[in-house]
Amino acid sequence: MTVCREALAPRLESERLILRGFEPADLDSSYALRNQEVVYQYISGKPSTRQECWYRLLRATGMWAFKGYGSWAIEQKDSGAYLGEIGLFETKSNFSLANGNLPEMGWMLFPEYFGKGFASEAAQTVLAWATDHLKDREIYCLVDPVNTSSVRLAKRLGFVETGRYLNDGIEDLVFRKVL
Amino acid sequence: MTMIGGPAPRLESERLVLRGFLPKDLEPSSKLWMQEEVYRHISGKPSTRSECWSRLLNFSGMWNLMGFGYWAVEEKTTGAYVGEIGFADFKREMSVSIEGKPEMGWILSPDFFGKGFGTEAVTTALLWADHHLPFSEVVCIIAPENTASQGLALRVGFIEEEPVLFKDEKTLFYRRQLTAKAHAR
Repeated sequence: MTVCREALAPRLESERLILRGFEPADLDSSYALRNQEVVYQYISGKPSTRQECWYRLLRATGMWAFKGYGSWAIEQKDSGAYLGEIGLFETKSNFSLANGNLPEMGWMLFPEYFGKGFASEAAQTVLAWATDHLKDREIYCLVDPVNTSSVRLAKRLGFVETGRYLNDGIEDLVFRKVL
Repeated sequence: MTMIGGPAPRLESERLVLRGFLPKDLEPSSKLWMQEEVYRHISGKPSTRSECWSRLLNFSGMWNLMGFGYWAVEEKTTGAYVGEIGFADFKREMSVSIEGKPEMGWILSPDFFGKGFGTEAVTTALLWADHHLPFSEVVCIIAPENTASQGLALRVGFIEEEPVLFKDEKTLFYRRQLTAKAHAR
C-alpha cells in the first residue's frame, strides 16, 4: 500500500528529542500515559479507557489528513523512550466553535520526565514548525490554573493569558499566541 | 516507521462513489447522525457536531494506522451524501475479541432507503476487501432489532455466528470470508 506522505506528521528533531507521527504500537504507551494521575488530573480529570486512547491516536492521525497539522509522539533520542505527546488539533468543542476553530495546542509527559526541560524543548520544536507552516495564524491553549508548570511553560513560549473559560464545571486559563 | 496505509482509495459502482472523508463532510455527516432511523440501532442517541468531527477524523486516521477504514458514499449523478461505510478496528470491549480484524459497518441516510444503495455500497467495499485486504475474514456486529442490516449482511455473504455480548447486551455477530485475492498476488 502506498503512503500519502503529505497527510502524515513530519518527523522533527531537536537536541534530545524526536517528534514523530503515531503508530498502532503506541497504544500501550499512550494508554499508560493517560492513566497517570498527575497527567490526567489537569486535562480530562479522569483516566482514559484503552479504546478512548486508540480513538485519540486515530483522530490525531486523521487531523494531519484533514488540516495539515496534528500531534506527535515525543521520543527521547538516545533511549527511544516514549516521553509523551504534543501537538495541535481542531476539536470543534464549544470553546473551539466559539473562537473560529483556532488550532489548540496541548502537551503531556510521563511524570518521570518532568523537570528536565523536555516539554519546553518539544513545544519550541512544534512552534518553530507551526510558525513556518501555519504562518500568522492564532493558536490557543487551555491550562488549569493549578497546573503551575504548564502555566509557566505557556508564558515562556510566548502565549498571552487572555481570560478564563468555564466548561463542565472546570475553569481553565485561556492563552493565545499569534504564530 | 510502520505507517501501513495511505488514504482511502476511490471506488465506483454503477450509481455510487466511495471516497475518503474531507473536512466539508462534517455538515452532511452531522445531518445523518441526527436522524433517529440512523442512530437508533448504533449509538442510541444523536451525535453532537464535535462527536461527528471526531468520528470523521477517526475514520480518516484508520486508513493510515490500519490500512483500512471508512468511505463517504456519494450518489454519482447528484453528488448527494448517501452514507458512511467501511472497515474499522474500534478495539471494542466484547465477549469475543475482534481486535486487529476489519469490522465492517454501514450507515445509510433514510432519504436513500429502499433503492438498493446499501447493498451496492457494501458489495463494492467487499470487492475491494477481497482484492486488497491481507486478512482471511471480515466481521460485523448488528443489533437484534436491526432486521434491515441483518438481511443485508446475509445477502452479501456474511454468516451468522453465536451472538456476543457488547456493552452487556446480546448482539448478533457475523463473519464473512475474504476470497484471499490479496494473498494470491
